[in-house]
Amino acid sequence: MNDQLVPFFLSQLDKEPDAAFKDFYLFAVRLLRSCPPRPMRSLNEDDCQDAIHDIIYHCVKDDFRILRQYVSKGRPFAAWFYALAHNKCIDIIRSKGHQPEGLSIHPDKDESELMNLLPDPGENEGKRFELSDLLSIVKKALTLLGDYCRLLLEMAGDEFTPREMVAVLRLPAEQNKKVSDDLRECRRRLRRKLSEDGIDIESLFKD
Amino acid sequence: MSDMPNGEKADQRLDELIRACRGGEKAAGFVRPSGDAITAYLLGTATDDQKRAVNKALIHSKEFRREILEMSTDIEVLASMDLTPSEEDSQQVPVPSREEFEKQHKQDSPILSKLKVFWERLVEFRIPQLYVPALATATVLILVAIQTTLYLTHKKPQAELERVKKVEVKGIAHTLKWSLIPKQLDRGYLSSNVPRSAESKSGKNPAYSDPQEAASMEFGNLVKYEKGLFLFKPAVKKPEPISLSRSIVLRLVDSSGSLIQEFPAYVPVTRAGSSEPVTAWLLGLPSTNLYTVEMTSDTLNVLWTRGLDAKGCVTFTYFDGKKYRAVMGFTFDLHK
Repeated sequence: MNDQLVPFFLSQLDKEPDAAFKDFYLFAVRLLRSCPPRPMRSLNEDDCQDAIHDIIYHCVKDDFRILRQYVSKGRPFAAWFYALAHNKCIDIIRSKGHQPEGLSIHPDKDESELMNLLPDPGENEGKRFELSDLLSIVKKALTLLGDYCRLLLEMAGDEFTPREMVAVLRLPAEQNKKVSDDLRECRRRLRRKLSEDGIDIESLFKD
Repeated sequence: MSDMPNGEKADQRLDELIRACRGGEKAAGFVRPSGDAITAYLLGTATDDQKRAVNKALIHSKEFRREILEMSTDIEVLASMDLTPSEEDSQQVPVPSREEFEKQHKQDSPILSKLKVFWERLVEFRIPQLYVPALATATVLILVAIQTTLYLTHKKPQAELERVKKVEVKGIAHTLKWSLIPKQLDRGYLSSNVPRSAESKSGKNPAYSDPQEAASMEFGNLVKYEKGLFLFKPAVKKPEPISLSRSIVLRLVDSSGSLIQEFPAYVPVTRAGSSEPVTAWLLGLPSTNLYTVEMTSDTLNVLWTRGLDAKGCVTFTYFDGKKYRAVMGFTFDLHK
């Protein structure tokens, strides 16, 4: 990263605090303008400017107390500051009495669409699943799979790509294939658990 | 779905069942981890307890999963950016002194601090002593009035976007929602200023085998990514009617149905392409999220809510019988 792992101004907090403040201020404004955290993106210019100032103040008050908490450990300062700014932005929006708006990723699946795909009574060897019973069985099966599988399956439900799953899990990028394989295995285990309760996914639905 | 291999079909159904199990955006059991835990998780320095808290939250909330994905992506983008302040930055960005910044920022609301600065400057001009008490009284009265107004309006919900144009929309039965394309448009894609193809240089809309590709190419004509900023290219002309064309309008509306902005376009009609739907595409900035919706009628309302990007581009794609083309697109900035 071009900003160096540890920016120079962090080493100047005691020796040259005014110069350190100026450099940090410029750094922060540049970062937050070029790559604003999501909560900031819908703010108007004045609110955005106020949020930037609030974030900078949070970092520099009490003799740079927050900035002094940064420990490199091989992680770039910009990434640390960005994550901090994102969380602080949410706090700022909440303190003004608003909720950070949630983003609807996919329209919630209409349960009646799933209902319409279930076989009518008399088909499927006389069994007919009520959707609520079916969903209870699925929920129970998910909890038995373990957190890793459950998270992979939830992300698959969100239609994340393996690359996106790797990003969320904070794994190295080359673990793409491993995550795809793990997801396939988790799906297989879920289908096996469901079949133990008499549910065969492949024949359950009409299409 | 019937054309899919059985294994893929079963996976699709499993995904649908998992989504149906959620019963709302956040499942019971969602607890937002602390800011420190989230930061440590993203940087790979989380303790076991912090990792557990974040993983549990990820399992229970699709919104939180999306948030972590976006933050992870942004952090990767930051890695490729030059954030070293330049001489130009220090000239263009006025930097207050540390003492002044901390003093001004401590307690005051933005309005009060601006009024105080104004009062201090006013006093510096050596107002005749006779007028000082009167001015002081007037200022106090104004401050009290403002504080009272702020208190009374504090609990009222603010307008979602301050510059929303309130126009009654008639004749539209319902408002659709955008579908979000799972993968964001790569920022590097927008870095080049080079026209995309010989056809685009001549003003013709180039043809592609995929409508998303056609839309993405058009977005590349509208916006460029330079030194970490998204910049709109110079405004294009308004679309002109084409013979044998269909006039369509896409309206962005807020949750109360009020118009935010509308985008009119003319889409050529071909007999071969008439059965294929026209599709609207929106690129949100700076997130580079891609959204799409089918133009099921010539005039369509689509929801645009707070929390989404305030800037972006819109275009429409159509099928010409052989391939997909995009019409001349639009840019928008909802803060202007």
